[in-house]
Amino acid sequence: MEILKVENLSKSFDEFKAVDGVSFSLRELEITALIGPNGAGKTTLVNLITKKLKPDTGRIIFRGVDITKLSPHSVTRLGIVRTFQVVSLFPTLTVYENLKVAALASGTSTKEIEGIMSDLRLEKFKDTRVAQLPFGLQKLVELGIALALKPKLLILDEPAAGLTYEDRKSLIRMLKDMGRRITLMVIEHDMEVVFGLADRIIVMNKGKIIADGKPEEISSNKLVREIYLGEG
Amino acid sequence: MVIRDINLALIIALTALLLLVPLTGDRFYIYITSLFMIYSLFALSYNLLFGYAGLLSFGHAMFFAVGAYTTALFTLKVLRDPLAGLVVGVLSSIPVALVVGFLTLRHTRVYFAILTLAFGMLVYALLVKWRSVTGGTDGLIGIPKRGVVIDISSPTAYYLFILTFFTITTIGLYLFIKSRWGLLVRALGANEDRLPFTGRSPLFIRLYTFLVSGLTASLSGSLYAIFMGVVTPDIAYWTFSAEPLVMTLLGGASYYLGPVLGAFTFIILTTILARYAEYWLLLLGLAVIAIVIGFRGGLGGMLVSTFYTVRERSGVWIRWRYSRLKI
Repeated sequence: MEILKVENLSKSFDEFKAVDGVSFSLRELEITALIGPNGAGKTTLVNLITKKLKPDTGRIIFRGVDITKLSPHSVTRLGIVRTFQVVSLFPTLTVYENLKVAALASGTSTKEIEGIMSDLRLEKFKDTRVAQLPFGLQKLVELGIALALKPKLLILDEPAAGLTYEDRKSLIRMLKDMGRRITLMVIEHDMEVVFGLADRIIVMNKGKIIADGKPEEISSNKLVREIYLGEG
Repeated sequence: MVIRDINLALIIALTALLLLVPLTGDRFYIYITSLFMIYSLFALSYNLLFGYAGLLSFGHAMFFAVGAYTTALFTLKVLRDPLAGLVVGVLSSIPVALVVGFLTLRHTRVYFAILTLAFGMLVYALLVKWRSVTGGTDGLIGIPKRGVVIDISSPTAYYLFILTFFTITTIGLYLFIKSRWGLLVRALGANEDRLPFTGRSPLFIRLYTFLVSGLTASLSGSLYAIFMGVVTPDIAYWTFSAEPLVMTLLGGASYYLGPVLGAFTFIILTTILARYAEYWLLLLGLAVIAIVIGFRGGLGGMLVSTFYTVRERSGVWIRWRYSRLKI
């Protein structure tokens, strides 16, 4: 079943076309990776879907509802939740309070927050201000906020960036498990994460989708190898 | 009952200490401590916007003035009673907060600061020009302390009247900041751009913060009107809006009771300096600069770091069974 449908979405910054007539749809409980070289328009596309940016043209339909003109908080309340490329938390609040802010919007109970903290192994940092946590743990708090929002579609912008090899492995396991309950869309540069996780890969370049298919189809796609993997 | 919350414990201890002041029978102490409590409430209301929600206002005195003038007008023209005047004075800030908030809170940072300054000066101009109602630059005099409901004409009575509102409001604001509503205010101050992506409208949070802050500031204004017996437009002038900011910075914006400490320091400094030095404003400015630059987190931050330094150097590990001071 289709959860998200993007139709002819475009966004320009002055003369630069960051997203250029993009159309695709996401199926429920499918893990989709969105890849592409730097400047391909991936984050802009996510910003358009989550309403951080307003599109110049196009429509976004989420579970049958046109969300093109909605505000970011309304879209979040409908179930589209995102994490950020650069960790974005409430630095002066504790780990628990960060998750609680999200829980207040979604009705997540205290018990459920504790469950999320336990799953992410954050319980012992419950009362620590997140500004005092190392980067890897801050990434987990970001994921915790997303989970406390009870997402129907979770968009993760470079979740593995800056993580150690071991942390990356554990992230893949965690996201795979999560993918059984939540539709995931992952923007990632790390091919190990992408191929270890995704059911489907969408490749962008210069604001357009240049390939869309299963991981094995993408890895053998000549255009992708030329543009993205740098093979002639 | 054991209170584990350090801020609540401090508020109760402060109240107990303030209860001792009337026992001295000294009118000057009663006067200066009453002023301290009124300014503390004004500074606490300011810090809700500035320290917690991250909104720098240069027009906060408008709420103080609206509360003070409404109380004055009500008690002089409608019903001669300080308590009724106080209630009406506090409630008068609701429409002001909603209208000004609606028009200014879509903007943040410097734009918000400038817009609040403009609205503050609009209120000031209104108070100066609308002579038939506000008394112009002469203001309004004869605000009664004795009314049909209560009589607080003796120094001890009005002192206890102010202390009651000071304690209730200080505890009430603290509980608000600790509540789920307050958590969202703190989240707004911590990272406003993130809030929409946790399903919350920053505008709505700003609006109710502005309202609570305005209500508290107008309470302090109403108490001021009753306490002084006279109100003049100076309390709406933009420089008066800067005073709670100075108090907050002095005491430490990141501590709940920082503004109270700041108000205390401010009053002591202004009283002592004005008494002994001709250029006391210059000295006050220098003192504020020294404290703000010299002590990160204001005097509150200095006290906390001194506590930790003493604990570390003395080698005596004091078991800390209280909650955090910073919230």
